Amino acid sequence: MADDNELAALLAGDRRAWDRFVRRYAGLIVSAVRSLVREGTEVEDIVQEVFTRLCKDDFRLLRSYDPARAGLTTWLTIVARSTARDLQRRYRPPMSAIEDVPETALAVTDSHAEPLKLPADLLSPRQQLVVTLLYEREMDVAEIARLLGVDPQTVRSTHHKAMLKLRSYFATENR
Amino acid sequence: MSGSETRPEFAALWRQWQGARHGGDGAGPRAPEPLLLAAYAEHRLSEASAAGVEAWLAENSEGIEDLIAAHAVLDQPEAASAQVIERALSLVPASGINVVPFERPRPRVTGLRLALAWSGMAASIAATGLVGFVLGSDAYSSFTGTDQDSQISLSQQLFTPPTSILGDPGEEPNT
Repeated sequence: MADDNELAALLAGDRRAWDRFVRRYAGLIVSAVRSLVREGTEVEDIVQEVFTRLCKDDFRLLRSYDPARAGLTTWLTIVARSTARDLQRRYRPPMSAIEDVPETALAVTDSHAEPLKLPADLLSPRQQLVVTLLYEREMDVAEIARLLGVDPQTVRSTHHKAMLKLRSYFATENR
Repeated sequence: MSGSETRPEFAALWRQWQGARHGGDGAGPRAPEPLLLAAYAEHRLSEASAAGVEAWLAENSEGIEDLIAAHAVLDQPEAASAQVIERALSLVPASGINVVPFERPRPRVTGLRLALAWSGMAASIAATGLVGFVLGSDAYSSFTGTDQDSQISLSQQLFTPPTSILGDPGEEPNT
């Protein structure tokens, strides 16, 4: 494939291949970073850091990419966002004004109460994810189906089974 | 929240489940490497491999955002500014081009040419030695007063060309 040949040439040190790679994927990396960061100069610095990580140590990160496992654009998007998040954490530790913290988070826990421990296999990973996407992310069934690459009916069925399990478990615990 | 899947009872079950999960020991699944997450985003993983990623996604909203972004960015990539591209290009210097130095072409010397060269050198040494001997012999004869009338000097014998192959050296050459 042409892309594989281009990547091979780049990893061999062909400067022209690096030029073509940058021109082709810079826009994608900017989009991926901008989905996390808004400020213009910060976006440029993070994009530069992404490219630096890609070519550092004789393209060590780029050499870890395997075209047989995933597409290059998808992989670059995830690497770019991961880099952006790392840099944001490094330079801007998370801080919240105390007024913004909900009271429940400030509450002192009763050390005498035993925390309820869920069995690890109560819900399958797929069930956990569907329930999280539905209730925490408030996504609709069609969006979840697209994201997971499954049929919408599968999403509904997965959700229904998860709810049955939770209902049965908490009904038992509350007796 | 969407339609019929989000009855209040289900939402309450989910909150109860979330509360119980976060009261646990906090040890969650390990973050998947970018290539694995990219493969999941493209629906390339088997059910078993996907389960690990989904377990992590269910507990990491950042991962879910990466997943969503991986699809969104592909739909509408931005254009990178010239400044961004120039900065990235400068990461690999021009000397990064893999220049293969050409070897200076050496004349191929065959065995015959080598033999002729050595033979020529040997012949020239022999000739030089012979000339030296002859001149030295003549010089010796003249110093010691040897009768020169009865014999032709060695140098004359060697260097006077014969008039004919069979004829007397004193005869006139035929015209």
